[in-house]
Amino acid sequence: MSARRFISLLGRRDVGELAAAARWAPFAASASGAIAADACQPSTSAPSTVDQLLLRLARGAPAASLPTGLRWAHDHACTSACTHEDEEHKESAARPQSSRQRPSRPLDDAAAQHASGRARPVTLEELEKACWSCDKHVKRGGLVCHGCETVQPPDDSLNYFDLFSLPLTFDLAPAFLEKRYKALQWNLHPDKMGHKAPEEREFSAQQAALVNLAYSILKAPLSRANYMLMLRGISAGDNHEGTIEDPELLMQVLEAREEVEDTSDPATLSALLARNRAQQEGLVGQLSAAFRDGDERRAVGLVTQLQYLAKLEAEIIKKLPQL
Amino acid sequence: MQALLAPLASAAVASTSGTASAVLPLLAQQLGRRLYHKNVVEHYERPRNVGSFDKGDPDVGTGLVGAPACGDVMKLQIKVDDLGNIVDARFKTFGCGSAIASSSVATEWVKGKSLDEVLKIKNSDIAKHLSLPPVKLHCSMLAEDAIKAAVKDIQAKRAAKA
Repeated sequence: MSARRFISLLGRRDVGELAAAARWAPFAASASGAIAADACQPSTSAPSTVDQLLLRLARGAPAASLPTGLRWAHDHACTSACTHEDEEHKESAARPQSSRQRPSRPLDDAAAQHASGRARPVTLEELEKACWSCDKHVKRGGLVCHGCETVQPPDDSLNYFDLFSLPLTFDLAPAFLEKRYKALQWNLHPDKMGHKAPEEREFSAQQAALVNLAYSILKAPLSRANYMLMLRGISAGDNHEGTIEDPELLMQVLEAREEVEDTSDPATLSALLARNRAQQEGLVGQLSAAFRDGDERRAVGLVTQLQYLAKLEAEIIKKLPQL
Repeated sequence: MQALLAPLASAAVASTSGTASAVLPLLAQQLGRRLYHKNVVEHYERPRNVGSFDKGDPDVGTGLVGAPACGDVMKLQIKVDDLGNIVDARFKTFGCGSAIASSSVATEWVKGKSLDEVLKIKNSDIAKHLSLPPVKLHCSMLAEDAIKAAVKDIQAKRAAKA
């Protein structure tokens, strides 16, 4: 595999961009040297120019573990990311395999390794997520730097469940969600950032707004279900762009709406509201089962019904402002 | 304030009838507010053809459609003669002003047309007639789908009878 491909797999940056960042200037020189050489030698003895680049990227990792780590990072980038289809790879695959090692530790275990005390090389991707204030490495998706405790800008790659460190399931204890929400805001809210730098106050405002939005979406079962379906690429409920022609459901909705429209008696309306809320609870229970079974089609149907029930509830409440 | 009044003054002078209705859209534009088009207001305040036909009537086609995103539901019914021409129409819509106006317009337009002709009615025609903003275009789409559903229903009934 060519060094060019390897470096592109590292951080998806071209060398020109590397050179532009002053901090990376010395590395860019060696990188362009590596590209010029266009050689990628997975050797254990003499480190190639690419290995030298990795060496400097590793930034102070203990010397004893360095060769193994470099080989791991290299092999990982080559074997797991490569599709083994391009010409360059076919060439290198033809070369003797003896010097190449199978990666024993996948990238996801990096955090575990770090915790266990064994050092590992740092990739460009991880350095992109370095704290803006202290240059230490923020845990992926971290809201606050572990080193200097400053608030980080919001991470686009996180979904709302990740933000709250929750598993991606429909069943969610509201009390637990609220606890997590308050804990997050305790660390992030702008009101606590009075004496901090302006950038940090800005990031804090963005993060707090995001957490508020995520909390409101996750709190209500209907919006949580819509969001989960959206994450799977299914447009339903709120995100449903088209029209539906379900005669049975629509007839029920029509009759229910007419029922509400025809009456102004508070007692009748209260009864209708109670019935509506009971129906919603029933549907939420069914939705929970559908998600647990992984039955997306059933979930979409239930979400549609829930949308209409929620709209009906809003209409009843509009007629009954004192409720 | 002067800058605001100047174009209004010229508009008032330019319009032949000099009524407030000519100035109002301009005023709305100046203030950055969006008003409902007068056609929408007209259809909302004085809707045509609200009501129902008997669903079981063999000459009646019923189109029942909904938009889950906003929780709207629209019922459009057509009365068709033996030659396949629509002689009467009724609608019942639960939704926003634009949805009600769209279905009201739909019932007006289908009257006197044949089943093939009404299938050519596009949501863009309805939207243009009502000057619907982009965010309300799906309301006109709902009306178009309602017409199609009603036509489908009457055709199925006729086919079953034959």
